[in-house]
Amino acid sequence: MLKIKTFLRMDLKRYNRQMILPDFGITAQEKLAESSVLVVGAGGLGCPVLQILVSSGVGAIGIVDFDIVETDNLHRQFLYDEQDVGTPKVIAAVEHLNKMNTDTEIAAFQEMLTSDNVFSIIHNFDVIVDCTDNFTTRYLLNDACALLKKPLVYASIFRHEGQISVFNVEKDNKVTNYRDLFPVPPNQNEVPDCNEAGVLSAHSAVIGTFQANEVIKLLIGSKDVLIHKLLSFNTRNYQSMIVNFNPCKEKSEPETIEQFKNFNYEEFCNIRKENDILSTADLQTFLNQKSSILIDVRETDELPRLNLFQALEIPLASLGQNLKTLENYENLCFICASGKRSRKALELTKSYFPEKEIKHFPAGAKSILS
Amino acid sequence: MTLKIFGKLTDIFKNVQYDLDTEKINTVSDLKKLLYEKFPALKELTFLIVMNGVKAEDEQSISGDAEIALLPPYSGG
Repeated sequence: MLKIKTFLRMDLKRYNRQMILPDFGITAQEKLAESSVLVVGAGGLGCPVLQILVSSGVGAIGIVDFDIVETDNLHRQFLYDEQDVGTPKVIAAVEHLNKMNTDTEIAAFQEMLTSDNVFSIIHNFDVIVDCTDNFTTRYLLNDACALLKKPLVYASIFRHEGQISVFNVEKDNKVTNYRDLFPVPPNQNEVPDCNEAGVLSAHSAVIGTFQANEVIKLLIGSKDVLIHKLLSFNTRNYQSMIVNFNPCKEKSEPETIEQFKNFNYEEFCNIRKENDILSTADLQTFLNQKSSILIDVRETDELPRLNLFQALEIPLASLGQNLKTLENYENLCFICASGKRSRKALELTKSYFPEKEIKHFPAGAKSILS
Repeated sequence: MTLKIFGKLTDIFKNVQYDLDTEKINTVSDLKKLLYEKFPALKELTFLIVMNGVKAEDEQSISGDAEIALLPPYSGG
């Protein structure tokens, strides 16, 4: 699928400044040129990771993302410009990255990572990079990489803090992954993403840069990689901490591909509130019931709009004043971008209408239109 | 003992650090129990206890001069 350009045909002058480093040289450059890396998520972390890996001369890059570029991405996702708003991220990314370095072959996967497609996507790549923004995809990707023994470079952020680690690489006769840190995911509403918590552009760029640095060190065989170590870094006060960790006895990840395929990651990541959740398969059945309504609690300028569905548009901030609008419906389902605001809407509405059947759809607006 | 607090847990502790009287604490489990008494909201939350730079297990003993941090998972990408 991906054809890596022969190292001898590359113009090495462009890589001179990294090649003259005593611990890098032509050998490391050749290793980068012969490597393939898959970046999952082309957002705040994915953009700097992609830009650095392509500029550095990694031979082949894959990008997985089902999202489109939105105006509120531009302050931190420097790979995109104003002309890209409304364009799928993978399309815009490939266009910009191709201009950046023709030595790198780039493949795009404009899809959501699922149990069905994950193995066919990741198996072609040497290293996988987790730049995702939700726990469902994070656990799914972690477990798939653990099963295929694919090195996984992880990072995530919260406000001014970031975490970085490298999984599935054997060292000291041990192999560790994300579940050795956090065997089970947090509650649905416990940890806000950047859409809710906010993020400074420099912060995601710093943490994404650290993440790209780990990928490069891993590819060239550096000893100082964050294996069995989690780096926590705060860009506001510059406090940093390294957490050493070992295989966790309490974790229970799928041990075979069959177990993995039967594992419901959506349910696993919302396990304590599963009665309130509608899956993609159940949404239409729920809405076909008499007196049912879908309520979109995103802001009215958030894309994509749900034009194909009969949905009420009530942004979460104004839901409290608009509860009367819902009085005549018996079955309510809330929807937003990532399941967080829809969960809040559900909890608010339940206290007013305890007799109604109220659900939410955590997979979000994009999943039913993709 | 001064605990270092990370992520959204700082909303509960209202600070990035918290001073704790260590008299009743012998193990990581004791520390958790005491924290749950003082901050019941913590019971619902997921976080690691880090002791002297290593992820700690419940049965491990804690000395008075141990450096402790509470670290939750992050979601943003």
